[in-house]
Amino acid sequence: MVNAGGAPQMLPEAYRQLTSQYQDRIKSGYLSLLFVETLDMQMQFLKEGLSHGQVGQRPHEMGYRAMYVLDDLVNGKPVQDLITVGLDVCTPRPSTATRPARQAGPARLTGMLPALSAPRGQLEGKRVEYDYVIAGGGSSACVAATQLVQEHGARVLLIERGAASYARLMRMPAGYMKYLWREDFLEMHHTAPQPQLGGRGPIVPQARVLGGGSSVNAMVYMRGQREDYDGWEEYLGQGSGWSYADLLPHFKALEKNANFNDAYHGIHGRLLVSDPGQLCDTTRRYILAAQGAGIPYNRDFNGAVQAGVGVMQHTMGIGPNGRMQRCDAVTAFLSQVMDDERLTVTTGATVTRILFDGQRAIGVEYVRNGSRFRAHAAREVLVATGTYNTAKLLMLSGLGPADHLREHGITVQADLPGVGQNLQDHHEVPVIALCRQPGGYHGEDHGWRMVRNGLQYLLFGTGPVTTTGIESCLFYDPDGGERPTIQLYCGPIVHVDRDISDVEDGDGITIASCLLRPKARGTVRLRSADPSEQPRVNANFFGHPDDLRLTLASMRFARTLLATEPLASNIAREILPGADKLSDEELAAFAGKTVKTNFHPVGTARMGPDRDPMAVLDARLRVRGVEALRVIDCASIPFIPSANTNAIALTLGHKAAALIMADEAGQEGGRQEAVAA
Amino acid sequence: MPLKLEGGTYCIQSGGPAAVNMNERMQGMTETLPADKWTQVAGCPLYNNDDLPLSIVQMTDIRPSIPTWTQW
Repeated sequence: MVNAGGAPQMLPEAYRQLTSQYQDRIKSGYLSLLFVETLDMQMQFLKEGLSHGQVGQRPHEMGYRAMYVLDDLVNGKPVQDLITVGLDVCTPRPSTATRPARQAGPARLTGMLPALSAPRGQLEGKRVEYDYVIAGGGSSACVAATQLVQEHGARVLLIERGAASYARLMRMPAGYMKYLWREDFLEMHHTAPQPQLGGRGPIVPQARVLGGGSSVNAMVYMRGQREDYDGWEEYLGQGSGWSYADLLPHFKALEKNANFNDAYHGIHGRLLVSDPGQLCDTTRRYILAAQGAGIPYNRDFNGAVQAGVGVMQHTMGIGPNGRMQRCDAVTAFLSQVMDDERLTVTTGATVTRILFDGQRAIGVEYVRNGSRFRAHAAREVLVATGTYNTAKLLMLSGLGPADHLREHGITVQADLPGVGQNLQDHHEVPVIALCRQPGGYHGEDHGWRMVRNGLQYLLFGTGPVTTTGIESCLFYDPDGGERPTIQLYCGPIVHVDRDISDVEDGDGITIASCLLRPKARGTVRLRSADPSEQPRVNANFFGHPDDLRLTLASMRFARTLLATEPLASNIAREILPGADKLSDEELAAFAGKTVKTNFHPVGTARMGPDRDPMAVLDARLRVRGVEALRVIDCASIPFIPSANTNAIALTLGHKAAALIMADEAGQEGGRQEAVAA
Repeated sequence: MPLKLEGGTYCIQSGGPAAVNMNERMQGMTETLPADKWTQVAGCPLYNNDDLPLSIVQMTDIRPSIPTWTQW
């Protein structure tokens, strides 16, 4: 609901009384309230969460400017017939950065509200030029945009198809669970039916909100293994700049770790990283049982060694309100430059194709509120629309396998057979048991317990709301190698994929076996040349026999954990796959029915060496065959890291900005990246 | 950038003393005018309570009280 004058808020008590009846809907974001006024009492409502946005005039500036207009008139000077002093758009999103003084001139609507307005002056047919246009507003895009504006002084347009902000509930660590399978901030892609899964086609969501995955994910902060990135370096060639040693300074530069300050971690960045606010009894039992089963304790999965069992760090920390909160890429990074005139963010806008002048990318075309716009990039276009949609956008723009493009009547800009190939995604299969005594989070998000937990969080900043629930995991290799191939999550609840039903619920534990480096490769192809159609995703889970073999082995190990103290004494019975399912055939059938994505798709526009005809990008993330175009999101990854992918997505944005700045400096004589760790 | 006018008198008319946004506008105006050169005439600011006819009456009434404004 939009109130054009803010009158109801002028009667504070009546407004409070009215909104208190719909508080849940307001707080969840189901009912959005926007008022066009920013008086003190109204800003108080914003702070209290009783409105979602206030748009205000700038009265002081109006008065100030009026005097100069008067002066001009007295002196016989012409005066513009329309004088704009701008608007303030205020939303609950905190901006902790020191705001630079605004430059003279009209303020600019930054798209802080979903689908509120096109960027100033960006009307159909009118040319607006930026230095960089970024298609997509996810983790990597937010970091890159921030760096380019802040460190490079560039004019940047960032275009995000989703909303500018997510539900307030999701800022609380436990809140994401409520939205995990909802489409508010996710686009649900459906994989093609998989023969190896008995014809099942699991859902593979992708974020659709400013901040991307960092705004909707379970916040696990995991970088992967040294060998992952050294493997990239080996593939790309020595000196490519993608070894673990090369990337570590980028990881550290972003990070503000609450627990570690050493060779592997930074404390001066803006990305809050910490342990969860609490650990439940089931988590503690899991960590002890794993050690009993021979897995060493590991205090820091992002340190010297990944193998072991321990507590996962998360991208969360104590927020301005003194409570544990999600730290997404907007809060951590983009908010620093949100008020900078050089940055324009537009949301609710879908990029439909990249524009070329000859072989040079010169901008993008995008659709917003049913209207078509063009934005021009004087320097480069950067693509970061997410692994599925990045491949789709490249292909819609004539960059992809020539035969496939012609099949859909798309003019080929560059024949790049690797676009849409090399899809990799972590996927997991659960082993689930019911517990004798409550020790996890079953029922904590419903009824009176939810109210109690919410109050505990709001009043004291403690309790179950301060954790995502998934607090612990272990890394190991079922084949006995030192380098882990499996991540076994401990979920202190009964949790299965969205398309699985009829599972007995109750106090339980879900040990999810996640394959770290699947050997199978999937694909992303176009359904048609229509930008509004989703691409055809073939995830190809278990498309390689080793992937299934390792998964089955780890499921058996999960059973070992359930039978090891101190977990064992609290386990009532295994419900999935079920204690009677013992053979490989039975477990494989179960895996096919239940395998689900771990939400980490990568690789559909991979970087690679000149010798690889399937390489879409060079080692500086530049798209081959054209100029002034880079892919800066997880689509660029050649081999999936052995970890949750938000950490590397953020780092890709940081690295991409460094490459861009170094390349531009290179044109003036130098080419060295500069990273302050 | 200072206003080029060398100084004088002025009167501000506003919708009401409790209108915070109006008060901010007035503050913007008065801060722009050097206080040692500009003075607001007695009886101002005028508050019209968002009553449009009253605002006209106020402007009519204030004029005779300020000799230099009689040339309106």
